Amino acid sequence: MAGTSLLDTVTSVFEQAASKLNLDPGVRALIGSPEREIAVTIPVAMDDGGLATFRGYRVQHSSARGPYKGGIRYDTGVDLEEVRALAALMTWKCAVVDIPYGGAKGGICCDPKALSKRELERLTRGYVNMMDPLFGPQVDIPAPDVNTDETVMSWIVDERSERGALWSRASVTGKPLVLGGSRGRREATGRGVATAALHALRRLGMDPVGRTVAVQGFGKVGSWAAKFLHDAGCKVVAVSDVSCALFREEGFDVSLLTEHVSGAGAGLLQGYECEGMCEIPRADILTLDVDVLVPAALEGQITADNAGAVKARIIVEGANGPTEFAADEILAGHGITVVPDIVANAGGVVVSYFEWVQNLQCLQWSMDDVMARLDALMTKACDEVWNTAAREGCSLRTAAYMLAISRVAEAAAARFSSIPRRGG
Amino acid sequence: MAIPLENVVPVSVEDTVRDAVCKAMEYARQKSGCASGAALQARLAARDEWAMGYLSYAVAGNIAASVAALDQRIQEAHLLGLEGGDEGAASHPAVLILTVTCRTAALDSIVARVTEILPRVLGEIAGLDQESSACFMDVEVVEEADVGMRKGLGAAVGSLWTPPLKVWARK
Repeated sequence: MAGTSLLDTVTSVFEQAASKLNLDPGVRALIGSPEREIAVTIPVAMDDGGLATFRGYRVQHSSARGPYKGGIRYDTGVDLEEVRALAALMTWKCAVVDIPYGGAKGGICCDPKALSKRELERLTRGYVNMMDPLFGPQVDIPAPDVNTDETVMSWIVDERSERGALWSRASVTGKPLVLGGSRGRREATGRGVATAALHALRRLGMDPVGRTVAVQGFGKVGSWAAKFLHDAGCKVVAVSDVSCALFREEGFDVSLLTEHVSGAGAGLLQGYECEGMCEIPRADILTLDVDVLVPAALEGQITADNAGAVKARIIVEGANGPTEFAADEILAGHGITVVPDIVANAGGVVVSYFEWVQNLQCLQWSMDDVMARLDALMTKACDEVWNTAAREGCSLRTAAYMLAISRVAEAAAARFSSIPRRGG
Repeated sequence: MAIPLENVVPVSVEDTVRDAVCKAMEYARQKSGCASGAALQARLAARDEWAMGYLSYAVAGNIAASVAALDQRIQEAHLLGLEGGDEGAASHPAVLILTVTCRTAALDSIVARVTEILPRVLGEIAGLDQESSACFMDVEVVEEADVGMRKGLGAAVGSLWTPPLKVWARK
């Protein structure tokens, strides 16, 4: 239900951007449709001696700009339609930050916690068995997604090598460090969000030092974004998670918040205490009078109902789809700048790209190296989106999609003669 | 006047929670491939992600089923926060979300009691340390209307990016 709404939003933005670009109808149809969709039935020997079958999918949306790239999710809601939409989004996300990938997504319809670890391993290896000719470092590079992690990625790498494929660390990203994972992966998305926020402040002529920030969602993305913004001199005045929302006018020491969450708070903000702090209703974090609001929790948080009450000057979308399509116009009407998710939270896939590059070159970069390259790439991407928006007189979201679609369209058109062969 | 069953706070929420955790321990033991309960406890003490994941999944499902038997307004239960890792997705600590047709004070009271008892029972039966058991699972109640409007935690139930695991549903 909510998912459909999000996909509707993405479709609306794509149509808006594609129309503004006045794309050739043939090219528009080409890049709007997936190049390949695969559905398989995976047999799995269960621990009790029985046999079960599971449906698995992989949608390879576009390879116009490079190998397909996208995660694999295990969830009871996985179906071809969902995977198809997410694959297209990966194409636009990779294109907007200008990394040489196309887009893909895969998944298996299953309840991962109803399966034992051994059953999950057999299921994963079975999936690779069915998909293997279509995976590879120069073909399609999977990554973790919902309910899959570095252990699952390790099984995929191993299964590919067991099946006679050349042993290549570059065939999967999101691996543990010992198998060629990249440093900086944990911090990547949050670091990218912070870079996009600092970039936005500077573009609007606002010195980041002392600027107030509210972060909704203090998880893997929000906590790191808060840390890096704090390190850059911003004042993080409000944070929230599922347990509570905290406000402190003088700003929080983010390292103390993180220490609490990873220690006594056992993952949650609740129970944190410091002088001058007060608890506020969780929903109020979205409407605080701050310079930067980072919604880094869930989709659909800023809606037509509450957008009019948002007082932030800048919204940087750390989560995917936190702003509904209908809310965008209201925010624009109030002069609020929205740095869209497609670019703001692309740090994760950028570091996946770095992992692949390191694997191909048999290198391992230092943390400083990874962060410096991430900052440079994200800043360049943000600059290009802002410049496109200024040139076209549109929102940053439309500009980001225009930039992404035009890059994919240009590459597809340049390779037009080779594309029909791919399906056959 | 007869009091509707769903408005009655159970005599022993503690027994319900204990039963849920005991069954969940056996489930987690089997799924994790542990030879004994002690082996599972050792893995839990080491904060093994797989063992913790199976335990929280089973505890959530058992508690949801038990509470839903007392309150017919509960329609579904989801567990949010088992570790995902999308290249752009966020994650959350474990939260059991009970979706109800209509929130009541009686249900809030049961949920508050479950939340209060659970850490102690986890410490006793699963051997979790105070830190791990204190915030092992948060239980939240969300109305179906909030799910439809994607309001607050209601947005989590239908999330495309970080879909929670469905652990129980009224047939």
